[in-house]
Amino acid sequence: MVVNTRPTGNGTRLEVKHLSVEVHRDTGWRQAVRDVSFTVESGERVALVGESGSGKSLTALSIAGLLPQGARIADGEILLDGLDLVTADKKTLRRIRGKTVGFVFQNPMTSLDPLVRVGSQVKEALRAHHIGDRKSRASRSVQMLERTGIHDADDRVHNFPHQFSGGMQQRAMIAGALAADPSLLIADEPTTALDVTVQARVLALLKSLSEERALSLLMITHDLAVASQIAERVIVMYAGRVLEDAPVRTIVERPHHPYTEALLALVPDLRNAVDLPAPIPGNPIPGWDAGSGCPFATRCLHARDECTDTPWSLRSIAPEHLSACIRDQASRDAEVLIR
Amino acid sequence: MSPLTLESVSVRYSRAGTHFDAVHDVSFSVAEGEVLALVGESGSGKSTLARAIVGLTPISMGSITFDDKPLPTRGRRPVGIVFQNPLGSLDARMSVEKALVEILQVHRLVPASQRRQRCHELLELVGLPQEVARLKPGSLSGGQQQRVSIARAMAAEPRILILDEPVSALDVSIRAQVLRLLDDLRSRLGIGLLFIGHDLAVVRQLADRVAVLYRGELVEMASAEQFFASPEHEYSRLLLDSVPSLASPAKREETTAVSENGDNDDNDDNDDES
Repeated sequence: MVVNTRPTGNGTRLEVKHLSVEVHRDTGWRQAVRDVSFTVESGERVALVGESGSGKSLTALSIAGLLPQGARIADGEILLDGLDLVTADKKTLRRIRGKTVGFVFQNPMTSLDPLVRVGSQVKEALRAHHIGDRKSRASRSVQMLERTGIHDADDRVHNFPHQFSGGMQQRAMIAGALAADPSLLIADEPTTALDVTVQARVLALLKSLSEERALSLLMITHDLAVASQIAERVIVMYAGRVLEDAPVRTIVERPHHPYTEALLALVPDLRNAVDLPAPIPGNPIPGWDAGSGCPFATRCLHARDECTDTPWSLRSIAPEHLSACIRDQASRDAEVLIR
Repeated sequence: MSPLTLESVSVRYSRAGTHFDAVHDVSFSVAEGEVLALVGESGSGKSTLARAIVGLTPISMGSITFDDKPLPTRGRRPVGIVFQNPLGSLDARMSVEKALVEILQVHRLVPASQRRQRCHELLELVGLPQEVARLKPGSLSGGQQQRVSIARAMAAEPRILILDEPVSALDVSIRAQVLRLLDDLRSRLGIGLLFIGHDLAVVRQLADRVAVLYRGELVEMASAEQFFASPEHEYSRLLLDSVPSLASPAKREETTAVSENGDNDDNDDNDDES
């Protein structure tokens, strides 16, 4: 067990304000993430849900300061414990990365060095942040691997990554990401490459680790079912915009935006026989192809002219519930009657 | 009627004097017009089995027959296959039309004069507009690419189509479109589908019967109804319990002290997910 438990802090850990990210395409810079704002409270687990091109990963990479070449933050603030990461100098960022913010990515083999023993990679995370001495780092790396469910960790630290199965590699990544005891963990599709039985265990692990250490978790996923297993709050993104932001129960039981509704309808109920769900017509679009109105309007069954004419904005429709859909309750009720 | 029949099929890999059965003693059949889902995790041997059926991997024991005859390798092949990653099976430099015409040519499926016409028919069959014919795979969406792969597989007019994780790489909103197409091909043309996947949610929507492969062996075969209502094998139950659902968030508690054998791929040779 990890001894190092932090008391639950209060307040906002991460605040993303009006973030816009541009990517370079042959004709110049295009806006892929547009005016994204959200917060992650201390100890809170938030899922950023979207399909490819939704901007969810660019948002996560912006927070991590790991945007690839050809992508840049065009506007906005990313406040971590009140400190703006967008304007912070490199030295500060180096101190924060890995220490205050940990990262776990989809494919462990692209993040683990194949030539370095697993234990050394976890130790490296500690050494980079000057945590402990040689001896205590060695024992802590064993401890971290044990905590993430690697058996015989004191032997396994000597293994190379290829001697680990996919699930174990992902556990080792999580051990490395949490070694420096960060207060925020960003996990980008951490279970997408894993088998379903392994996925269930890794999700449960992330959840218990976050509960145990008051760790804030920002999980990026395309899968609403996965999001609902782990997150307390779900933010739905589409074409670089946030379309809905609400507690997980609200998203699942009373979704407001038709895109959220459509995604939910695609999650089948295994217990009951169902016909094939009606597909969402059309294809997801990148942020730069969306106009100023609702980016989902072209695929939306409820869309009317004002959906494309009214500039997109996230509005509060109930306590803790934001939605970008402009249909009011009266017109939603009317639609139900017509159907 | 069960045209595609596997009897006691094994696929054995040998290395340095040791043998390992990636697929061991598997028997089942697929009828025209039905959807049989073959489910299992990485290393279960499901993709090896798919490749064996279409002759891409030799079998070491048993037999695979179609209408009681061995499967032909040229010409009108009764069993076609579609892989997970459409870009992997499409030539990036070849237009969609050329890719389709090539298949018709190589397998001498229709006379040269009718190839273009047949190509247009195939596009229509998979719900693609004719303009797509001139385009290269790179300028198509993921869903369109997978439709082209399906059109290619349909060119030989198969009676059974093997689909190896055909929607795993697609966005959720596109998945349903491709599943619709497959269901439509089944009902319109009466072809049988052998749907290989690990995503039970997708299987639930499409399959008539479910076969579970675990470490190379078939551990359960049941109607979809029966499988999802009361799976018999312990491993089937574990699979079903692991599928994340909207209804029951995280009932499973983390138990790090408990042995996690499934997480240790002892048989790396058997890792058929490439």
